[in-house]
Amino acid sequence: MRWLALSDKMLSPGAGFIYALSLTALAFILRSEIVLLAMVIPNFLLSLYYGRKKVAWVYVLILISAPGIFLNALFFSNYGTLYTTILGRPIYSNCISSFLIVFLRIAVIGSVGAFFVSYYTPMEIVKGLEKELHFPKGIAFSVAYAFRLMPLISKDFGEIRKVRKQRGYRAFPLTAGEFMTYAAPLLRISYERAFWTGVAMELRGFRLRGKRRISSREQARFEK
Amino acid sequence: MRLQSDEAYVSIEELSAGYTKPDVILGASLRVGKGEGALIAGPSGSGKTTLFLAMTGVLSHLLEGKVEGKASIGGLDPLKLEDYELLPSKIGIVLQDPEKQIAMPTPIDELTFILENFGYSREEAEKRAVEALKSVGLQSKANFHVENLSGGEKRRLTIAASTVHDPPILLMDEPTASIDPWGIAEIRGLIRSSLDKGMAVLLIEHKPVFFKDLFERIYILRGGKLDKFEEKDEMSIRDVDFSVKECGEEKGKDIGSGKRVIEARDLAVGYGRAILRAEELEMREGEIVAIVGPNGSGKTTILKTIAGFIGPIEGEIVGERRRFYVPQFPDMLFIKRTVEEELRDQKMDPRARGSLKDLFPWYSSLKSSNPFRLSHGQRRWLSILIALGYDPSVLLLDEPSSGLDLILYNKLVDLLKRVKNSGKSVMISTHDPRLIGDLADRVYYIKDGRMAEKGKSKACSELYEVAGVVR
Repeated sequence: MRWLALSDKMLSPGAGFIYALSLTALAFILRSEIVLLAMVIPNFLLSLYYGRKKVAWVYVLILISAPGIFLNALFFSNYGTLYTTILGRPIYSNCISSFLIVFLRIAVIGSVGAFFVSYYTPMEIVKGLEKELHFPKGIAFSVAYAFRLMPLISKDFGEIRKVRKQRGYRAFPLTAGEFMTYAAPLLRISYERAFWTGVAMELRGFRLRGKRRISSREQARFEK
Repeated sequence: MRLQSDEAYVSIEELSAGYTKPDVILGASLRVGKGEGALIAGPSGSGKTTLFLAMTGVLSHLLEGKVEGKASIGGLDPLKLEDYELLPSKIGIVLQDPEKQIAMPTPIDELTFILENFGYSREEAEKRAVEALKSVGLQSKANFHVENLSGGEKRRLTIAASTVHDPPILLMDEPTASIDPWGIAEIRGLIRSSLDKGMAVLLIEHKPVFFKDLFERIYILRGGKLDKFEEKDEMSIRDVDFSVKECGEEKGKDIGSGKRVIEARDLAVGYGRAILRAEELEMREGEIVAIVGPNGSGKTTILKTIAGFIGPIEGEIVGERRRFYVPQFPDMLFIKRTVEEELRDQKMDPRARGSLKDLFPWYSSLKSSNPFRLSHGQRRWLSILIALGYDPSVLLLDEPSSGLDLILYNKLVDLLKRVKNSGKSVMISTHDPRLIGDLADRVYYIKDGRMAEKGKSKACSELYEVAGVVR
């Protein structure tokens, strides 16, 4: 009951965090495509149900990673029974298997992270990490604030894309150099935002959090 | 150790401070008693924010800067760690950008989080937070996501956050940097009510014109030195915005003779649902048109619609196709690693590109600099020049004077006059009355979701009135 009281959700934030962490660990250990897929599907569906707009970009990133993972499997794990040929190049069973395992592992980690982010608010995460799991308040707040930043970064990314297109450049980064030109303004804007939020939190008593209790005299003053 | 200035509730004595050595603020001293206020004004780069960070102890304890001298706030010495940790219970703070000081996703979460920092239980914190939100008219939006609040509502939230724990001292660092005259009026209201309550108020601003009537003590920070402001100090008046600008004369409706470059009828713009409607919108060659309205009224949305970033919900925009939008945050426009590379970008028009470096006043010293390392004003300047490099017929500027001090503002006005004289048209979204008076040929005013043409002088005067400035 204590665990439920910290949130009005079925799964308390602390339990949710342990769930996410456990599935992430399992994703690195398991080698069965079927089991990995079975882990992805419910988290994928739940994350879309609770916060499609917030987390859709996670799945876009996962899909973007697929060609790279396949190429990696093609160069380093292409052996076994002949499966098919693509553009004249033979593809063997182990290439497919390796691709699926790595891709599904990333999908498990991404989907369970997406579920965690979509199901809980940053405030619930802070309280869960602090009060249930007794994380240091700095770590708990940093995790929660990262989730506050995500929709802002997504908005900034959209703005940068449109402005780049206006300058005659590709709207989406394809090369490492292009990626850096997106990353630089995003990081700078996010850094400035985080810096000033940090200053604001510092001057709003974050260091006192968990250390101080308001006195009954001060409470009584408010009650009046 | 108690300072000699016991009567002063906020005081600094011979304070010198800097990020690696104490060379940004040089021997600053001031005193503010209970129920008193002090206004510190200064041009960009004078050290205003450094002074704020130094006197609150943030510079030494969080940013590992160097601070010498003495400071006292509410009887605490922020330069000592044990007092610095207790300081938040004595002060309420309002910083530059509301977006950058809200950490939690909803207003109720934000205020509850702050009160929990001070040791209130969750129930007590929520009760108190609800009262604070009621006092700023945000009670009905307590559980809204912050991203769904308007700019004005975010500002009101930061005001509530600054006073929810009843501090005796209010410190504000350039709170008007990104807000409209309506927000300025709220800040004025906060200052007045705080002084009436007997609080000590310290305001650091680069647009003191909106506040000088509220303060007995006004200081000027220039080159790190803090001096009392004298009315006859010509340099102060040249560098810092102390006076109300002239709003110009009303002109007749059909003021331009050039060809129409932008035209729209029965226009509705927004994301999904219409947030702004205009029966007509028109712009002629060589004109400067100002779109005026409060934060969140749709000024940026209409500029982006004209730029083609989003489609109109109703109506159509016809005219010149070569339009270039310059975002409010200039960093979003930068692609290259140096200023020189930006101004010689091969994607630009070759003829327009040739003259750009002559228009950048700091080119010789900053051409090899990374654009992101320039000052705010220099970045804004660079973003406008990049836009000019594409030789647009219509330049769309989103809040171009935001964050500029008086010196840079005057340079910006000169640059835009040159752009206009070259035959280009400029559309500016703004809530800065100075830009209307100095530049606009035509003004479209947004009120209650509708945009209509308004007389320039009337629009400019109205913005000053809304902000509470007596002219």
